[in-house]
Amino acid sequence: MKNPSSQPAILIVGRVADDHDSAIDLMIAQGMAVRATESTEAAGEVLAASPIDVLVVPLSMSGALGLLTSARDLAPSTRLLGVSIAGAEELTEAYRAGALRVLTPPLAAPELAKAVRLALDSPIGLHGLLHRLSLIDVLQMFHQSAQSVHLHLHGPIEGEISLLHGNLVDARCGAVAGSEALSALLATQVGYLESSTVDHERRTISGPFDHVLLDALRTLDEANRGDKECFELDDDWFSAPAKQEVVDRDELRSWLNEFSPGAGVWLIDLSTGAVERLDEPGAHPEMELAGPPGSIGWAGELAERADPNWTRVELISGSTGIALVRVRDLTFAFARLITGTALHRRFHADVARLTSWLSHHVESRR
Amino acid sequence: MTGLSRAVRAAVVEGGALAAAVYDRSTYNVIEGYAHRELDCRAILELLLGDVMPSGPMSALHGGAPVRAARVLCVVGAERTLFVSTLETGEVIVVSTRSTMSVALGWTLVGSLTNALGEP
Repeated sequence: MKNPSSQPAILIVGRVADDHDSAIDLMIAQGMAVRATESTEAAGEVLAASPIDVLVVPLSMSGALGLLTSARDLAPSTRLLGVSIAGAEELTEAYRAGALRVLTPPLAAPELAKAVRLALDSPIGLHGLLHRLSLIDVLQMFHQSAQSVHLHLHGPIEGEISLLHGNLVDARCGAVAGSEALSALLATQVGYLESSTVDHERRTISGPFDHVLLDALRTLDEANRGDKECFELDDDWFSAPAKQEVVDRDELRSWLNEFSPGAGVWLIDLSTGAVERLDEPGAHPEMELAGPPGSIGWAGELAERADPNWTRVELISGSTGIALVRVRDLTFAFARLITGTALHRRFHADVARLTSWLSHHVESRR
Repeated sequence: MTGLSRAVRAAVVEGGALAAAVYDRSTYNVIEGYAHRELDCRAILELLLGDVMPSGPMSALHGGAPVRAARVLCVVGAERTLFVSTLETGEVIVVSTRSTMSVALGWTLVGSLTNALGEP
């Protein structure tokens, strides 16, 4: 049953917040119509009789899980929030019963109101716990679907990022804001991500999404390279002659510009996972190519399964082409965007040509 | 004999492949094959098609779970080259050739099987 009124209808069962009355007052002050019942049975009757946008119920109440389950049939458009100090099993049951979130008491009034606003902001869409996501994946996902969302990053690096209609508009990391903060947050390898509605008007970032993200990644890469160079200087500069690089990067760039513009070349070590981009340090083709380092690992594992003595691999997945080439004891990766059959053929030809060029080039530098 | 079985046989007998097979993408069962008993490519197909996720050091550091169905794979080994192509219609074509054979010719054989799948 859909709520015809413009005022969101909230149904609260029992006591869900420490300052219960204040929580209700706050939600009313925010323009919500709040109803309260003392039992899950009474809540079921209300759900059946009138449109409710958000139902909040403590999971410790008798019949709470049954209410969540029956709400899916009685009021499919109602968003469900649980409140509980539940263990993992009870939480799983609540989520399976359809709860968007299970809030943990003690719950303050603003916290409850915020959770209800988030539920109201999610009339459709999935909620869940996902893993193996990168921050870039998540940002691109929200960008492509033109969402307005506020992301909280928890873990070794803490911060916040806001997107408005799919564009990056704000980032904060400690005392830093804007693009600098975005660069710092993009360094995150592990952590926990939580989304909420955008409830501020800060604008510390401007520009097209791709440009903003690319600039932030470039800044991050330059910072990382600076650190690495300093480290190498401290350790080695007086004791060892400069190590000759396996590839002349200028020559490689010239080759790519001539034969395969837009492609990237990496030196990789499949056994350790180390990756170094050779052609254009500072630019991140991950943006254009949807994550080559990860796909490079995938291609490498496929090759190992097919033949541990492989010399060349080509993997085309969607619009990304990845090739691995073994030249003497070195492994190179090559990636580029591919669209259309003609470019499939061209990719095979590019890989063959690059293999030949790398073989001669690496040999000549030894 | 169907067009597909003729094409699979021709890829080996006339085209010079060591083995050729067409698999059902969802069951990994062989739809048609010739000299294909040595292919033993189930593990590769599972990783390629996303039923098994990559788990090596590079994938652990940089991500790498396939985000979309893979279409084309070629692995040039010491003695053999393996060609794999997944089709939107749900079949997977696998052709094995000697690694001395041209890669372009290998893809041509894969193309001939792709065309044969569209024929009665």
